[in-house]
Amino acid sequence: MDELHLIRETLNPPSPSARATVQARNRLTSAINASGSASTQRHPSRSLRWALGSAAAFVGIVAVVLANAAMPTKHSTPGIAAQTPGDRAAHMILLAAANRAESQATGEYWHVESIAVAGPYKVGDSPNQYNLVKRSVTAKWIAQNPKEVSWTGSRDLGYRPYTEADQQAWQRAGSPKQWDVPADSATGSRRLTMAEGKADLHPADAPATYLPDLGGFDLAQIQQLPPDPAKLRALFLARITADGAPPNSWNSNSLLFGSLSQLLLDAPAPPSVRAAAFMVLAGVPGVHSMGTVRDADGRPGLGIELAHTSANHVVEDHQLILDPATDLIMASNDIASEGEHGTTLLKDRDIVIVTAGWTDQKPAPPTGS
Amino acid sequence: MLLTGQSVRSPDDAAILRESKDHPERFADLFDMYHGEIHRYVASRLSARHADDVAAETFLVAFRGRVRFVGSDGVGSVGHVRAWLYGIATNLIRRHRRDEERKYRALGRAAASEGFDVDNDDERIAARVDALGVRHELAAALRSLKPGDRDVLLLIALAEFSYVEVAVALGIPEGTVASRLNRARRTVRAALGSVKQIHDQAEGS
Repeated sequence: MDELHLIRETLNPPSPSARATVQARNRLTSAINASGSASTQRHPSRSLRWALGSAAAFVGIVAVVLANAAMPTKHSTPGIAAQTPGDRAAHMILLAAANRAESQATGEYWHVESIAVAGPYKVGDSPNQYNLVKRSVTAKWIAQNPKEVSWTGSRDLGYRPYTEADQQAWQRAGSPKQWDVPADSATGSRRLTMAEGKADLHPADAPATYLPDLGGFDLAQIQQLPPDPAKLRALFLARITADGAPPNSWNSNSLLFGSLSQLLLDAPAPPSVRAAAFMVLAGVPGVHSMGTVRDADGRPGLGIELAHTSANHVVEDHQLILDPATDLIMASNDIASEGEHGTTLLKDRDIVIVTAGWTDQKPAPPTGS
Repeated sequence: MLLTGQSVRSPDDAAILRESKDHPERFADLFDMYHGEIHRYVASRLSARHADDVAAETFLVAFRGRVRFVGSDGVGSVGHVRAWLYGIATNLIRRHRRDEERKYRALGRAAASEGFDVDNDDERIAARVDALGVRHELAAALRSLKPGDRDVLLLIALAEFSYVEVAVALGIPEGTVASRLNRARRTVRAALGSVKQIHDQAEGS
């Protein structure tokens, strides 16, 4: 080892904390805003408010659309996304989320309650047709101590009108509480109902594996992930590259975004690792802000997106929606569509997060509210 | 790679800097690109606590000086914005020379008792055992360097700069960069060489 390499190894420092980064950035944006140019009064003040607000209270809703491994990628055009400079608004939102994540306390369980929204399904007779969506809630209570039992539960939340327009059409139709739709069954129909099902709660099966797209991590490995963003990124990229995705390709960026989202939503990682994950997310080439968007349940939040159109017109779109009041992830959308204008929906997996965080509460069946 | 591997570097940092003259808010993009590595550079030479402040200050100084930077020529090409930022950070680090030398002293002591990174890679553990004695000497050598020589050596080692970039960062001629680097490397090699000799003798006996 030559002496330059030795110096690098010996002095190898950690990356800055999210808090230090946010504070340093705020000092700079204050100076920028104070510099008095008229042009400074547009975006930066908003960014600044986000950062400051987040230090106080910032919940993020992140909708992440996970990469579909089956999606054709041969004709993708790597390099375009990789050349896009970082989007400042997205950077701010994710930094704020990292800052918040870093200061959160852990508890006995990592608790995630999420609502899956499926549909839309068309009901009613023309011209009074409207759309329904089916909602179901799933809860996970993952014990921090591997020797403790983890729990999982779910509840069917029934069907409901999709958009506001659908809601009005439904009211015009007399607000029915159930619908019989044609189906390949003995009776030739299937009954959809607004009624909620019974909630259950049961011990989770065998030890869980997290981040299956990266080859899987067990609970102990998740808890020992590096809290240094540079190291976390290097670890994830090493797994992605080993899996055959060339560095900086759409496939690689998409897997990185998807894996980080999974880590943030589904894995009981320590606060420092969660903070690092948000920081790494902010640096994924092509990640940008969508501004204020609504999640599948209609709640507004700040959208972060990684999207890509392949040469054969398949559009893949990963979205995370963050709650601007709390910096927590509110929702994750995973959309793929086809056709020149993204006209044919191939996949739409929308997940609304009711709660995601550490808790000392005893596991209970999910209510979905 | 340690400091530079964090993000894809945009080839357009000089353009961003030029735009920031009329659109100051563009300057925040340079922060997003380079704050992480500047912070790590400062933390390497001082401490994470120092780096929180010095890295933040670096960007404030750079922001205030952005017009001057764009005005002088020979610095508009790719890589020079980064060199300029490291130069500012290096200037700020000089104000903490005693703290830096204290750090190397502490590093020498730490090397005698334990490793200080938390890597669990087997290869690195083996390398580290070998390196403990070496690090003690390295820390002493870094402490003994003249400040100007140390700046050159560490910009090349930590930021992986070329001679030209160091020259831009420190505002000195390339020839001076070369002679300072030679002197610094000789000092470090001599310190490490004595360790290696002892090591070899121990193995040989």
